[in-house]
Amino acid sequence: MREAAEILPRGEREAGRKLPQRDGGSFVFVKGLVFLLAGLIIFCILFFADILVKEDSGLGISVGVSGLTLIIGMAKGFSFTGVAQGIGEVAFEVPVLPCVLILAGIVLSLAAAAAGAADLFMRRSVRKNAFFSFGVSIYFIVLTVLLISPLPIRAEDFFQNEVLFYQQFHLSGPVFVVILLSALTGAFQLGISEKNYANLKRYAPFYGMLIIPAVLIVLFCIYPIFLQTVMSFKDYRLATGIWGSTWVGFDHFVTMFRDGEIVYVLWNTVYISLLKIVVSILFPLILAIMLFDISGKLSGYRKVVQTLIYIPHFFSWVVVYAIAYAFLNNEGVINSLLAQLGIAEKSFLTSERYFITIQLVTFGWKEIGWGTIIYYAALMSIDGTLFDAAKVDGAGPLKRLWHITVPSILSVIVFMSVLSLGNVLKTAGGEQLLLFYNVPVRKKALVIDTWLYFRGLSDLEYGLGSAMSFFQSFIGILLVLGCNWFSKKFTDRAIW
Amino acid sequence: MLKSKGSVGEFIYQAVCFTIAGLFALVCLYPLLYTFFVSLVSKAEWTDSNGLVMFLPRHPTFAAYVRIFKTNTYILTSLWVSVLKTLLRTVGGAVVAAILGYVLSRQKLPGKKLLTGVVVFTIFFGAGLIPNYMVVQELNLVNTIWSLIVPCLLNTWYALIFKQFFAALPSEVEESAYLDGTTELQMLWKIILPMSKPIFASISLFIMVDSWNSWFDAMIYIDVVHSDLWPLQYYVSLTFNNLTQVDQGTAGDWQEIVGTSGDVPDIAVRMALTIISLLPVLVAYPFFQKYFVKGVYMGAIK
Repeated sequence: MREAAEILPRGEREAGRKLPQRDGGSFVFVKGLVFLLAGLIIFCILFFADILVKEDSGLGISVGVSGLTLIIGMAKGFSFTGVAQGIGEVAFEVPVLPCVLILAGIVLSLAAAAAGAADLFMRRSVRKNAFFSFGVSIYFIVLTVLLISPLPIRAEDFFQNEVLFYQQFHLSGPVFVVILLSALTGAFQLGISEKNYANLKRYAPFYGMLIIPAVLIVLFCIYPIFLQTVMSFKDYRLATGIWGSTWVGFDHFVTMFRDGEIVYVLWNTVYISLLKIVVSILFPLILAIMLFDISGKLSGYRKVVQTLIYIPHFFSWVVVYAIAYAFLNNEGVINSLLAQLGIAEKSFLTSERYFITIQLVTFGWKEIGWGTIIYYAALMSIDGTLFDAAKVDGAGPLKRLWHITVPSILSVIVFMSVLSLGNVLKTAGGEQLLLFYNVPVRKKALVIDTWLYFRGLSDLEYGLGSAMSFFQSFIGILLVLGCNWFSKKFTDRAIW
Repeated sequence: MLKSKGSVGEFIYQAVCFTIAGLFALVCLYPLLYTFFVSLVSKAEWTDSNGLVMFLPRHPTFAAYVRIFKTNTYILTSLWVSVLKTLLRTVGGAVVAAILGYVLSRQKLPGKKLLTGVVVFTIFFGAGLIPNYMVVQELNLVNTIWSLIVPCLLNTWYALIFKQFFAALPSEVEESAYLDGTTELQMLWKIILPMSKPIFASISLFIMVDSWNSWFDAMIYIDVVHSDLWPLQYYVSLTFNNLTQVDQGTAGDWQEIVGTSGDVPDIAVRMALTIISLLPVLVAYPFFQKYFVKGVYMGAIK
């Protein structure tokens, strides 16, 4: 409150009643308290939670090792005991180096808590202390990377066979919590000054509410990325689990690019995507312009048309497939019509020849109408007097189109194109192609997303699938960055 | 009908626009009607006409619908799953997106830049099918209804649309309310939320349609043993028998509905199922059209 008084006008009124103290006591207190508490929480997690797990997925045995277990075991001359799920107490060994490294991390976290305590009790705010928190965070990131990497540290499995450390042990979830928490504490120490402390207090409840989205982001956005990166370079086996599986370097990428089908996969992905981009930009644009140019007297008609053309967008691909099936199957309406004309039955859905056309037509049917909205909005923002003036000057409809309409929305068109090009490896559309998939059209229906489903998920080649996704995301982000740069340079719009 | 004040060119252009727009509207509408017509056809008529039923059948019958609901109870189970997951996902998804969007829209909130960075990063750099599957597996959500809800609860796009909306609200009101001693929570509850009904409507509707229409997640997260957790859309996709060859091969019970016997052709049963699965969206659409369109506008203006 006192700090608020220095910044905000509300303070001026309060100042009349209560003289503001200029010591900033509350700020320093809160900051120190947060620092100390976060340090203690982190220490407790490291000390009591199972941060290290010894696991044999094949046998289904896993033993959690907490900081406490480590210290007791080290004190007993490096002989450890822990409780394995469903089996009971087991004795095992942990190599010396990881023990020492983890212990050092625990000590570091204690030092951070101590720095917090010092700040709190001496009523001071030392910004440099933030580096204790960042230190803990970075230390555990490095440690995680070290311990899951193929370092030649020997360990024993449950049958006393010698294996590499990472094949038996891995750091577990709580360590990621520690990394995140200490990074956040560090950011808090560094980012919160007396100036924005008032704002911090003002918005305090929202940080609490943010927990749900934050957990979802970490679990379903960030952790999968981490997993994908690790899995791309590992030979994942169910028996050894994610962490215990052997590192194989770039093997998956080599396999991927030597695969007999990869040529179709990549070609189809880019080819279908580019065609879809053309369909999803050009046709909505033309249609939007036509709708816009329909004379104002017929606005009722225009509204009806707009209502109708948006409908297909709301149907699932399953429904679209069902409708396409009704039209195109061997006894469907199109074949019946052909029969009336004396043309032999064609199996549209199971022949390579028509596959891509069918994809484009169904895609167009679903999305063209909906796509008009964005152009229509852009057209609505054009100054209407321009058109009137052009009309008075005797410009025909095509001239107006060319000299007013197109130039006015050119930036939107370029922006939309650039945005779509950035997504070129994803636009081909897994869901749609999977539904239209059947064995005879395999050659045309394999794109990255369908390949991922067949090879990765159905054939259980998780490593290979992850490598493909990694490749897809990596090229994707490069394309997005490039396209954004391009968009910024040549139009006034950019994604960020 | 068309009063052309200007030249012949003007008139022709109007006529072209008028016709093409109308034709396209018909192209959008007709397949839908066709699906409905076929769902009403009887076996006799279907055989007589050699599959050429382009308009309302001469003797429309609801036999296909009756058969769907009478053959077994899967349809009811899957409808219930669809409704349940749609409800939970819509409520949860809108709240989560709104929270994130609101926090991102507070200009003075310390840490906003960091958060924005993370959110934008996750939009452009995502993980693929398999890592996502493994996360769901590690969380023990596979073969539960939560696998259809929790992983897609947070949609960062919708959060950004919320952010656009909240950021565009006049900040003078908020600042003056704040100076009058209103806390941020009271402000959210009493000032912001009442003003943001349209955006909540838009986003909820988008999520509702998304989740009603989703089937792929059921295909990867829920196996045959737990077929009582299959949503309607996935069920419909199975009756077309394309994917059964890759999905563990046994969807026999589901195929029962489109068996060969009976007085309705297979195609009519399939189309009837399709109509059932799209009906909720179609019925809701006219009432909420303006919210959908508004939602796109808000997403587009960045």
